[in-house]
Amino acid sequence: MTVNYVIYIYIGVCSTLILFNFVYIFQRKILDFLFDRHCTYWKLALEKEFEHLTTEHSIQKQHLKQLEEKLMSINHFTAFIQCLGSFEGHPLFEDYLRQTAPAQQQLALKYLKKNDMYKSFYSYSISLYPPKLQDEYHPLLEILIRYLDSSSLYCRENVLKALYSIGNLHAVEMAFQFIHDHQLEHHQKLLSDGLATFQGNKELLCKHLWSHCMEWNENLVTSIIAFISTTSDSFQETFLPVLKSDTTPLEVRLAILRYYRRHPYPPVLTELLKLMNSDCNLNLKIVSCSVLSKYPSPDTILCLKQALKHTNWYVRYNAAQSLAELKISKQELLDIFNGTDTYAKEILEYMFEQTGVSI
Amino acid sequence: MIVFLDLLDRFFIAYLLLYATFLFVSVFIGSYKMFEKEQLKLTNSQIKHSYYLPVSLLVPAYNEEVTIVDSIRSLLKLDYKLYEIIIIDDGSKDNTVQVLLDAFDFKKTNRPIPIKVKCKPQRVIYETTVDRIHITLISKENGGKGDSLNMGINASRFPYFICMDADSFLQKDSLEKIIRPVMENPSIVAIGGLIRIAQCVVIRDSEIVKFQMPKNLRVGMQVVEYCRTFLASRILKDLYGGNLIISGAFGLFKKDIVVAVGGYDSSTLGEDMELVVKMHVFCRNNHIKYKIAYEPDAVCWSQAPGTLKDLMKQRRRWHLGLFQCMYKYRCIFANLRFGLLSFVSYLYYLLFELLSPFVEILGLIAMLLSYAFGLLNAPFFFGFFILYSLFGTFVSLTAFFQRVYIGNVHIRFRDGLLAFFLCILENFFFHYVLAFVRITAFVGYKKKKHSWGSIQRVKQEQI
Repeated sequence: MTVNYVIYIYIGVCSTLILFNFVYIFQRKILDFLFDRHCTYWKLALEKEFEHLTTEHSIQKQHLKQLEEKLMSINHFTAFIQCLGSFEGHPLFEDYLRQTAPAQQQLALKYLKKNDMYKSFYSYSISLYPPKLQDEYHPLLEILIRYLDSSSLYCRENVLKALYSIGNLHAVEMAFQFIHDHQLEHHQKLLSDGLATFQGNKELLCKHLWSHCMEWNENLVTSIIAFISTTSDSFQETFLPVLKSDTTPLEVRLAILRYYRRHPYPPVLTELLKLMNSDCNLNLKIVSCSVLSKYPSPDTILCLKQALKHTNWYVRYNAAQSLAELKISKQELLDIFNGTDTYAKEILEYMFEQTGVSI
Repeated sequence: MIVFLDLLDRFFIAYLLLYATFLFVSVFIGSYKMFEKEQLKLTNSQIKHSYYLPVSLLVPAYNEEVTIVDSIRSLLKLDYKLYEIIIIDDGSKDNTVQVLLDAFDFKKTNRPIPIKVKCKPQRVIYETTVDRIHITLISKENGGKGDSLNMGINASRFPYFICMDADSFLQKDSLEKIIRPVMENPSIVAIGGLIRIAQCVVIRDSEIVKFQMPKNLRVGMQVVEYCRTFLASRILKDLYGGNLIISGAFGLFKKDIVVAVGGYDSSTLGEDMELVVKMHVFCRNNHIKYKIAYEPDAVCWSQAPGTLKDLMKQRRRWHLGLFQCMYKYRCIFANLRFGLLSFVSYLYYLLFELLSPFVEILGLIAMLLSYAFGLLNAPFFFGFFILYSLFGTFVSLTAFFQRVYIGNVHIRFRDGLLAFFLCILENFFFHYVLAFVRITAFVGYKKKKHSWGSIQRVKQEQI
């Protein structure tokens, strides 16, 4: 009969779970209802405050207090964000954000004591309506960076998003230093895509971040180079010695090669040809083949024709693609088209067909 | 004989109790994890980028002329920036290729395809670009689903690929959702999505516009069955990266690892499971840091068999595939090196999936014999049967309603009531029918070893 009791207990717990589901569905309905009420509440409060701001040029102390107290509830905060969005085109919108910064700071401190989910939400709200702190120090920035401490990936991502939106380069620099010092893992793609959304001076940010590249880990450096690739063409000279160095990590060298595809720099051609003719890592050859499409020269054509006969598929594929992009005439490629290497011939024919160049 | 029957009865009860415990723990943890995920969503604690990594969508097709064009059109509407679609026609006997050529502006090309994993040769290749999405249509010699997927892997240009069924529909955000875990954990080599039954939704432009429980009882019971499977055990096993199956209807894979293990095995019926287990073994043997994950937010709507004949065909195929795979990778069994993968996942599939129909039938025989020998405590056994089935019903109901609130789905009262009825029917009756079907899977095993598990397809609007 013990067996029956065990099953009874299981059924009991499952019933509780089903009940919980119903309660949760019901609670969600109540929260939706409350959300509508909160929206009305914040709409009125903000209308009143923007009116006051127009006439008195200042925010009422009572409103700051209201923000500090009510926005500790996520439901209220979500409603507030939604209503604030409808004032975005208002001429005093920026002024409102600037004047409510002290309340934001107080909230940031209160959220610091809460768990990751709350911190993450707070950072998210900042990323939507960032205060104008591009060129100045503000304690809010420091608090946001403190959120990174032992944070979840989601919280970290939202904190970085907030910092990019604020556009303060020192804060981003500090955040990256924090990530490096605490050996936090953050996907390279997320970092480079995130940096591209930076709202301040991107060129200056590139310089600041690159100045740390000798100290920071490979993942950070690769993401910074990927960001620089989309932002600046003034690193051509800086990157060349790094590319040439054998001690540079492979991923960093590959990222630099991609940079030279986007921002051609004639002196790099020699290095590209050297990589193609040496016994270096295969990935370097694969990427070099693709980069060579931006460096037309007789040596390039010769090198790419050689690469068409390489044993690796990707080297051959990229070489053919580059030759097609370089729009080389059929005469110059007769030896391949009439040659015995069917792989080289087939891939070249296909690439020319794709790029619309008549063979 | 009496002692033997007594032992058999005890074994049967212990077995059911063990299974009930596993289900209970799974559902409890699954519910908690889903609740946690929901809270993260509500607080915007999630990664949201417009573009992650480029992905190749592989769509193997065999006699799919009815659904293929709609499927491809729906794939073109996905919310994702960089992906390509590769349709692999496995020598269909119907007009699969022709309907595609009529629907899209394909051009015949001489694209060379490198052979990274073994597959049957191609006949013709067509290519086109629609809304900046590159589509490749490869018509090849018949070789089975695994073989077609291998061809797709060879032709794919991106580092990750998604395998899916030609009759399935991906939700608009599912591509973004399935790649997201890779951003969170770069050691992930494969991710399984959540498969749901397409017959219970109305889909327009890859978006769900209406949810309703299907009128067809067989399909309805599969709806609750899928809810339970995908909520319960998969989330639990995901905690330690121990899922042994990623459904062939929707899964994301890292190409270099799949190529390293030799791709899909086209000689097996359960090529999806075989690949996943092979990846586990390969990564463990080579000390590669890896994780095979499950992402319940990435949803794929797949057509469930509507007729009993098709359902039986599908389940027999699955059971044979499971058997082939479990036997092939028996090295995992009780192997300390595989840790929880061996002692929880493998054991679960062995005891509660592969052997369960046999144990259940054995239990039934034991009960009948016990009754014949006057050993059966009839009230206890019937009481136990009712209690056990009732427990299964509660588990299914928990999973179903969890899905309702997680998916933010609005269901009518009538549908809720129907779901309740279907959960009872499934646990008291349907489950045993399927157990019997699975036992018969081995009849004619050699003959159907390499066949496509095709079922009768209908267009989405006719569902």
